Amino acid sequence: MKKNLEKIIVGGIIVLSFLLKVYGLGKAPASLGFDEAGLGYNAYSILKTGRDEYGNFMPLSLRSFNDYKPALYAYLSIPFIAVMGLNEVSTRMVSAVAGTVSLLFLYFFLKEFVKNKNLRYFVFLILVFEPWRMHFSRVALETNLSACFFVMGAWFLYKSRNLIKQKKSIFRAILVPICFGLAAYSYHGARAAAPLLIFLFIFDPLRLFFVKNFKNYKNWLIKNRIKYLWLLVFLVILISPVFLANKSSQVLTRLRQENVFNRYYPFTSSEILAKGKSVWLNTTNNPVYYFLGIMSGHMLSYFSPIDLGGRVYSWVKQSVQYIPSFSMLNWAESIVFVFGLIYLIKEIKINLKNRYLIYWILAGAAPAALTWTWFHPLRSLNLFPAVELIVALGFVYLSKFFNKIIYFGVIGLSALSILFVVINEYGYSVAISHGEYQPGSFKEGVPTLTKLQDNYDQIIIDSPHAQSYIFFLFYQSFDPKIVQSYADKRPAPGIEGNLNFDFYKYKFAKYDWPNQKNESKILIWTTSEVKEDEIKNTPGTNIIWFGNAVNDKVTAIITKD
Amino acid sequence: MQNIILSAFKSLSYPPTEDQLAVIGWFFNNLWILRIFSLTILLATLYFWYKTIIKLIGKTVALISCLIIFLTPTFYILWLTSPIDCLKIFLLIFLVFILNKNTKHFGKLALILGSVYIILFSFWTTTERSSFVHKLGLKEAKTELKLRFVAEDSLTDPVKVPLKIKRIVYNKYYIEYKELVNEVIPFFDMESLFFQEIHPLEQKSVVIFVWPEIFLLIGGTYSLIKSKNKKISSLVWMTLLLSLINFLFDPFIIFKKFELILFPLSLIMALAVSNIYKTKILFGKIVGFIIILFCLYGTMANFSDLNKRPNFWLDNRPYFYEFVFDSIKKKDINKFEKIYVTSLVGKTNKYCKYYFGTCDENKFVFNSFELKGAKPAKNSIYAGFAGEFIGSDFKNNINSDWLSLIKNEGFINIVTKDLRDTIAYKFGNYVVVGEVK
Repeated sequence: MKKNLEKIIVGGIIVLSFLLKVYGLGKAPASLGFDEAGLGYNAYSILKTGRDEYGNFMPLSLRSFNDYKPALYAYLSIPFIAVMGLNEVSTRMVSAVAGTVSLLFLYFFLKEFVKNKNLRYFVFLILVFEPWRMHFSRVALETNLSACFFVMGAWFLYKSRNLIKQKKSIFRAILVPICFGLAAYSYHGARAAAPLLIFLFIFDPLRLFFVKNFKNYKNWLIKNRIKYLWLLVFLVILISPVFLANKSSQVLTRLRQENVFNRYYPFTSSEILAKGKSVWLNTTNNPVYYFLGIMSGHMLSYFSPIDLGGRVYSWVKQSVQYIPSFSMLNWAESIVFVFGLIYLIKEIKINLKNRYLIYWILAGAAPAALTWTWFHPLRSLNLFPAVELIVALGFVYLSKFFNKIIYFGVIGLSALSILFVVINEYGYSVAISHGEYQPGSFKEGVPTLTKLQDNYDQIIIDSPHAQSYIFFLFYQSFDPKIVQSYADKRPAPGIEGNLNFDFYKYKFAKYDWPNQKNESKILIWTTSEVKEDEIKNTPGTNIIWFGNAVNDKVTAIITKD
Repeated sequence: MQNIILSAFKSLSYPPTEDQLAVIGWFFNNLWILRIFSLTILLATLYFWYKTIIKLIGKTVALISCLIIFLTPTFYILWLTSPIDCLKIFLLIFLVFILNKNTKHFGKLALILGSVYIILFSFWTTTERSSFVHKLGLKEAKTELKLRFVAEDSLTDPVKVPLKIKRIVYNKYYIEYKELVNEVIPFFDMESLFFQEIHPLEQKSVVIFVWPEIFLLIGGTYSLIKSKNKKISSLVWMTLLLSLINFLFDPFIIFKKFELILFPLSLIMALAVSNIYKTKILFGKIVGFIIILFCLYGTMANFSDLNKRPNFWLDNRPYFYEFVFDSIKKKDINKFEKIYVTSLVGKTNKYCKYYFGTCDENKFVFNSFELKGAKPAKNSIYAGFAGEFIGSDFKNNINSDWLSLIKNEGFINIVTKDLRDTIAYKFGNYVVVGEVK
């Protein structure tokens, strides 16, 4: 009965979480971001033709916006798109499911770290409704799928820590590279994070601080750890096709675009560098000092409570990862995290269990740390379950000081905070972040455009979005075969910026009414300033306005017969 | 000799701050006497801190802790620019020392008395209030609540949530809780504490600790937790909580909000340094010494940087006034009927008194001015930002031809200075002093 009680409670929380994740999935966030639309449309294209939008047969990476997205998310979306059609819900469903499945493994970990059952249920309930869990599961993001496989891999790796003696352990150990491999096929970051975590798990470098000399460490390593190296080898073999199938330089496109070395070189401010000699020979303000500082800061920012629970950087605000009112954790939890860290540091010597959380965060942060951004949740999502486990340790630490009144107070406040997270995600978050990165009006306007377009010879698209073509493909489930036939005419791999291309009747051009009004059988989609009177005075014209999620008059369809 | 020192330590020629002007008016006639006084009381603070720790844990840790504080750029900038803060810190640490010396369980008492002292001091010495104090009423919570409802009501196709359920958290009390917790979270701002040298937001402030010191903090935390000396933990927790109180109530720039945290964190780091020396674990010793070397290099690098470009690290308003009044001084002011000096960036009259001794109220006008579309008064000097001469711009984009435009207005003998950091947003970065005949 007691075992069933646990299953009922945990199962109940997970089911509730899933229901809240999928409730209103098509409306919040208000409309799709271009990456979401890219994933959805490519999944649709593969479903219909077996090829992506460029005509590549069953690709491992989607060329998409020349960013070579890992393709697993798109493949897993195919059944949902086949059943529900191509829309917001079917595109986001994989993320919602992945976010839910990962909770089960979070609970497995909690069982290891929080022994008191009641406290564990309470902590689990809080963690299930962390802002990032609600938000990232409601957006089609490869990284959320990757985080799900990553936590599974991390769990099986953790469970195989006591040597591979029993058959059960061997089975678990085989699942390690498989799960990590799936994570790597879901998101770029896991291709570095997963091998690194296995490496840190094997070599346990923090152990060096607790053994008297290197010889002891070396002996321990040879005796106990080297046997795990096959996990690393197996994983590398598993993920190598992704590099071999495409040119590896193409797969590393994102890293080349975003890496820390290009952006910050020469690391020391040019104002204080001594002139006339090599940058690296500067004695008072040597670049090595600042470079190491940047790298340390990038890694340690994932341990910084203000980054976890308060501060929102501009590069986060301008993207789909932005959660208005929050950073990643709920406010109180980011403070509890500090106590978790204290507890972790206290127990760090005891066994690998505690050090494992540190390795997990470091491995998860490493790919993001190589890019120029300081704290980037999207690129480091794999590490957040470890952050949550440290929060759980914080609750364990603080619970010693709780009396009944404090307990009730904490439970009450936490319940309110959970409710706030959910309501915020359904309402305020949608109203605030409906802008450029989750553009509106395509959702509202494209169905009308689809109905009208057969009557016109040319469709002019005037849009500020560099990848707006994808919304026209997505929202009308455009025939992939037609799109594939334009593959040769599209911007070549490596090109960034405006990736729109002319196809079918569509032409991407600026709104220029004085010239365009003289054409016939033309339809114009524009977000530029339109003088309505001037248009209506031209014979044979009509104008239809579309608003976005907050009812602004932002897009016009002008028809000229 | 003086010139050699000043060129090597450019920051020493930093002009007086408003804080210093206030105190100069009261007791001191000379900026350097005031600075030496500030340094003396900060050194006395270190002495009492040393005495407090020595009683609890010993000489080595006490000495290292004081050395760490002494070497921080914050310590240097405090005595160079902020006499009132020096006094505040001195009195607090003296209080901790006295209580530690005379009472058995000094932690709680020091916490209560120290908190009261910090709050009263912040209310007594300035009329400015911190954002935490502003949020203590429900007024801001009500405003935010209204904004949230307006934002959500603007959605054309919202996800339905019954209003009754919404109201459970969309009420002024819960929003107040949210606001207050959000004031506490920045206390755990690792970037401002340890990564100011390479701050991701390019935030203007002074380095509190150099980045390698974060590793000393981690090692020190381990040493502190493992230590059986409860008194030292008690001192750390007490001073951390006092730092939090100061952080919440101090309305000024971030390094001043964090000024008290120098003490507990330096103590934790001192434990790490002491253990690096003592440990028999080879790896720990090697890594520890490398970190210490990096800390020392970082300290040197920061002092070098601070003295190469003090205008990058320090508040630029004193530079503004130094330039303006030095430029005016070079002119024969008796020839002019009026001298207009902008008050956009501070208390101009106080600076005027500092640079001129007395400022004739009939001659000097301390106010922001707007000369676009108006003719400047004849036989006058104007000193202000370019935007005040040719018109401000909402985005601080001042016409690149601003100097010619000012000359066209009839200004002659114009001197200008480019000040970084946009201290007078909308009015451009150029300071202009010009005459009209």
